[in-house]
Order: sequence, then structure tokens, then C-alpha cells
Amino acid sequence: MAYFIAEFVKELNGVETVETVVLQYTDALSCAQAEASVTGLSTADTLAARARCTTSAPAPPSGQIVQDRNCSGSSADQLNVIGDDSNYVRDSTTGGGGGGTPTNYDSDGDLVGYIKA
Amino acid sequence: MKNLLMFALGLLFFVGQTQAQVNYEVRKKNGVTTYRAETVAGSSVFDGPILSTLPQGAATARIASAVKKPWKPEPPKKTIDWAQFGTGGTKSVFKLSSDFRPDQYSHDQWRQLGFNLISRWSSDKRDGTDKWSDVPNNQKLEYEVEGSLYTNTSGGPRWAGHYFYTASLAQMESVFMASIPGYGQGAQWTANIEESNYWSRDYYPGVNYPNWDAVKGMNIQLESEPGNMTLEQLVNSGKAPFEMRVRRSNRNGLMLLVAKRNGAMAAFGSSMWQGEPRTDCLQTSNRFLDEADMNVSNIGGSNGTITLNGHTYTGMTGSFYKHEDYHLDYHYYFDFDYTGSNYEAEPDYPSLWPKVYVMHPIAREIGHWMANRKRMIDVHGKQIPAIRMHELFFEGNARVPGAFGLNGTNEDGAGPKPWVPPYIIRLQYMLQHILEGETFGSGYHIFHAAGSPNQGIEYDFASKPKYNHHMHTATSLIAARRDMEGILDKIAGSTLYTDLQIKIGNQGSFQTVNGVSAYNFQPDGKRGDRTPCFVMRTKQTDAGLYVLIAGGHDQGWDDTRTDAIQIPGSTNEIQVTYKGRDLAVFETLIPTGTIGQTFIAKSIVSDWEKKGYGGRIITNGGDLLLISLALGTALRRSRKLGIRQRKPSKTSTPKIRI
Repeated sequence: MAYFIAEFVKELNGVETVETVVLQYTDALSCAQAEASVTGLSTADTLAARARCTTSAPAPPSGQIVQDRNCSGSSADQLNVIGDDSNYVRDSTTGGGGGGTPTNYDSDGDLVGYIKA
Repeated sequence: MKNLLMFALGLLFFVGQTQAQVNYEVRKKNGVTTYRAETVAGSSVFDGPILSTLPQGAATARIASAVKKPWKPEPPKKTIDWAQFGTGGTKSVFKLSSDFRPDQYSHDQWRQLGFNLISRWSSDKRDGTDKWSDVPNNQKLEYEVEGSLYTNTSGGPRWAGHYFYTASLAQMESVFMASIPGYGQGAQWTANIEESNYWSRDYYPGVNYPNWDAVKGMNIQLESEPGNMTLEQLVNSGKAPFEMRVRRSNRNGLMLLVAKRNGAMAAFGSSMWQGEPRTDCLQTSNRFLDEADMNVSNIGGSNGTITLNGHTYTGMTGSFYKHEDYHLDYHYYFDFDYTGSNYEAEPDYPSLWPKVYVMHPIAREIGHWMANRKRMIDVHGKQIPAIRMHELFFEGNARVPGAFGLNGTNEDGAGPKPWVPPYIIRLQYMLQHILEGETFGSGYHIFHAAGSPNQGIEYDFASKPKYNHHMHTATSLIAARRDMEGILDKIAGSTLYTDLQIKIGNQGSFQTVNGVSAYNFQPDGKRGDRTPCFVMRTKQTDAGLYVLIAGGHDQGWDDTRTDAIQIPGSTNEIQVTYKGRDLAVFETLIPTGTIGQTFIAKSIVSDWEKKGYGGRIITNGGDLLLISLALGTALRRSRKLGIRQRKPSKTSTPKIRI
């Protein structure tokens, strides 16, 4: 599989953010074509647009846009894969029963509400 | 060029194009508020681009977010595309384990898919890598069978059956000490005991039971009362059944204590509540194989304390289950109804699964879990963690249709057992996770006996003819795991509600419904009308009450209904509209101060549906699917790839029990 990743760098309230769009590309759309198209697609509030092709990561579902909701593919996300319980607080007094709350969940943030526009 | 055009249009849509009416989900993270549009209008899935400014003309909406991310059932048979789930693993403490592991997956790759518990049966690759001994304790699941548990180190018969019951407790302590590894803290050990659950004169002679005449004069020290008797005297006295119960409890309790000696968590290995939930299961206290209290006072113990071979054990009174640290919820689905017209002619699983009917699995799962929770509280005074265990296939002896072309490929010379529909594995996993919460020791396990020496790991998976079918049941489990990943932080520390006020069909008055009442299976075996069933978790946040709701009904795949559920402790309600048999899972936020409002949870997108499957299904192959969906029918793909689907029979054929 191969993926085309477009990144749009924007400034929002003084904070620089990056919107990432990941697409699988096929033979009809070469990587070079995809990359070349990005600059023209950026909008007025885009500070910079860049693109790259990859065959490795992140691996989204075929044909899907996988934005940064739990799937940014950042190296930080890879640090705490399962089995690394060093971040978990365990209760050592219960003979292995233990418990505790991980502190390193991926989070989309707190749900605040909904709007229609 | 066509694809390039679609790409350009798609990106334009996502970076700012507006539609007439779009719903947005509002989230706040690290002090920054963001807005995300629905992926498809009306889908309640908010995967659109992240915006930082409030869209113009915004007004408050009282809706909910559907918890489902896209996954694609692999079109060809015997094909696994688990790369679609990435390599991020999971951060959950809720365990996921599967003995079914094709041998091309290493432990690390397995972990990257979200499996954070590894069974001994799915460890040790043939090339000597991925050894069980290398698995950290907190990822170990040992499911020990009688073959090893009752090993006779002297070379005699296994300590099962007759030998299990006639041995002294000190002898069994030696057996357990020799056979049960002393795992450390974090490891989870359990047993699979099938041959030694009962003891009866009628079993002689037989497997694990010698000729009766050869042993009837054997003298044993009784445990249910002081004194000794020969086996024949015991049988003739009428005291054998109670003696069996006490000896069984003593041995089972001792076994758990031995398994825990170095800090591991132990479970007996059977569900305290057996079978489907019955309407009296929350009022009764019967527990499987727990028919007499442990009692060591007649064999040298005192007040529940006894020293055996120099090791002192305490707490040998009451239910042997009290020594469990977690519970193995061993409850397999045995059979199903086939609702089509010609079972043997079904060509493949995508055709078969829509016609596989299992009665209200959502209520069955919730009800069964509640029956065990009640018994945990009876025994422990509190709930303990539970691992739900199931197989990929139905436990009964049904075999896949002949048209699958798999006859003779199973180890027993017949066809393979039919795999359960993907939506059932999904709802089992998700409900168990939601019911258990983010609790260490809780989890979901797929038992899969593929043959010795390592029963789970599939050496030469690619060359085994019996797997020449669609693997979607296994894939759906990983998809379900990923669906849960985005709400782990909301589950942690939340409050569970299993008895909810539900307005069935959104009509009439609210009534209390739980999994047991919704399943409506009477103690006398009669079945009443099923009702929809939901469970809920809530968690107070700065913005209000976070609500997670999951449930569904025993309705057809084409049926759509609405039920209203009251938010506990408030006058607000959530109306859930759902189609088919899949588990509906939504999250929403009740803003602080909200009174008497209705929140709408609805996510019906025909392009994401597939009968027999659960979650958000990608049925089309190829590129740019999501963009084409978002732009509507004008850009919808004309090319259809993927799995062949057949319309279910419209004829009213009687169900066939398989």
C-alpha cells in the first residue's frame, strides 16, 4: 500500500496547527501528481502546505481519510503501546489483583457539546 | 485524471466548503476548543477536519456521537488485512487476548494490533522466537488444562477423576505445587477442568476411573466429617454426594491458593452462572460446582487454616470462589437458527451470516454478566474483574455449509465449525469492556484450540485448507478494539448503570429494563417477548455529564426503531434510533444545568451497513471513498468492489436449528 499525506499548516488564535489528511493513492494518481496538487489546494488561512508519499505509516483503512483523531502516527503515539505498564498505577497491596488508571490514554479531548451551522 | 479531480474536490470540501446544514462536535483539549463536522450528514460520526473557529450561524444541537470507525472486511477468502488498523496497539488496561494467531504475527506485531494479553497457547513460534517465558507477567494468561494440571510426576495415572477425589488434600497440594507455575504479580492463571467436576460410582470403569472392584476397598479419610471409609462404604452410606462436594471445594480452593502463591491472579475457570441468563438469576445464589463450603477441620485444619507439606493455607472455609482474583466468564454460544432456505447451498460467510440468528445477544451478554456480578457480590462482597471467553465459532457440532467446499478439512475429518457472525464478536467485546470498565484483570479472550503442542498459534496458517474462508470474525474483534480506543479516558473513572429507565419504542411510560429482563428467559424454560436493552456509563466533566450508551434490540437487520433512555438522576433523556442487530454505541455530553431535554442519537448510513457485521463497514474498495461519500451521490463511486452480498430470502421459511 502507499499513502499520500497532505499537511496544511495554519495559525489559529496564535497557535500553529497542522491539519493532516491521509489518502491511499492508486495508479491513477501518482505520488508526484498528488504532491504537486497540494499547494493549489491550500486555503487563505493556510500558512504552508506540504505533501509527501509514504509506503509505511500511518496505515489507515484503505481509501479512508484518517485525520489526527487517534491516528496521527506520531512517534509519541508509538511509545506507549500495550504491555508497557510503566505508566499505569498499580495497587500492589492486593496480591496481584491490583488496579489503577492509566494516565496516558489517547484523548480527543473532552466532549463539550454540539452545534449545527 | 478522474481520481485527481475527485481528490481536489474532496480536499476543498474538507478545508472549508460548507453545506446547508452541518452538525459539529465540539471538544476541548488543553484549553483549546475545536469543531469537527460530520463525515456524512446525519451520520453522527465526526471525522471531518478540525476547525478552530466557530462556524457561522452556529446553534446548539442536542445530538450524540456514534462510536465507530471504518473497517474493511477483506474481500478474498483466507485473507487478513489487519494492517488497516495501524500499529498503535492499545493503551487500555482492559485485556484483549486471542489464541487464534496466525503464525506470521510475532508477539510484538500482535501487541501492535491491540492484544495486550497473550495466552500460553498462542505463544512460542516454531522457530523458537516469541517464547512464553519472555512475556511479561502483566501480559500472561495461563489457561491450564487437566492434562498438565493433574500430571503424575511418578508416571502413574493423572490425578484426575477417581484419583482427584480419592487423593488426600496433602497429595493434591503436592500435585498442584508441581504442576502450577508460580507466576508473579500481574499474571493471570486459570484452569480448564472438565473431567474432574463430578465423582460418582457410575463413572467406574472409565477414563480416569479404574475397575470398581479393584478400588472399592480403598480407605480414604473423609473431609465432610471425621473418620475414614472405604469407597464402597461411602457409596452405601449415602454420604458420597456430600463428601464429593466438600472434597471438590477443598481441592478447588487449594488449587487457587497455590496458583496465587507468588502473586498471580487466579480464576477457577468456569462461569459461576451457567448458560443463558434466566429471569431469576439475580434473585438466586446458586453457583456452578459450589455446592458445599470448604472444610479442613476434619483433616487436621482449624478455623480454615491447614498446613500441607509444610505450606500453610488460610481461608479454607466458605465458597472456594472466594479465592478468585478475577472470574473467567466461560459462556459459549452453542448453536443458532438458520433463517434462509438452503443452508448447505450457502456459498460463503458473507452470504450465510445475515441468516444466522442468535436470540438477542446484547441482552444475553448483559444479563449473563449481571448474573455473575450478583454472585461475585455474594461471595466477595464486591465485584471482581472478569474475562469474557468465547470462541470464533459456535461450540455445537454444526459444520459450515457444504457449498463452502471445506468438507473434510477439519482435524476431525468433517468440515469446520461455523464462525459466529462478526457483529456478535464485536458486541461481546465492546459490552464486556463497557461493563467492566477500565479495570486491570478484566478482559476478553478468544479460546481457539488448533492442536498441540501450541493449541492457539496457527503454524502454517496459510497452508491449512480449513481456513479457506472469510476471516471477518477475527478482523471484527480488532475493529471493535480500535473503536473503544477513543473513549478509554471517558470510561476510566465513570459510573456504570445496568438498570435503566427505558421508554420502549419511545412510547408509553419509562420502565426499568436490564439485560436479564430484556432477555426474558423464564426459569421453566419458557421465553417471553424480548425488549431493547441498554447500559450506560456517565462521568462528570467540567462541561457537564459525559454519557456513553450502548445497546440494541432483537430486531431484524432491516428494522429500525427508537427507544428513549432516561439519564439517571436527571430529567433529561436520550433517544436512540438504530437499525438492525448491531450494538449501537453513542457518546454525548449533557451540559451542566440542562433540564428536561432530549438528546438524539442516530447514525444510520446505508453505505456503512452490512448485514451480519457490526460497526462502520467499508463495503467498497478503492480510493477516495470517504470523499465521495461526503460529496454525496454526484461523486459516489460507480465502481463497486468488495464482497458479494446476497439479499436474504424474502420467503417465510421456518427457522432451522443448526
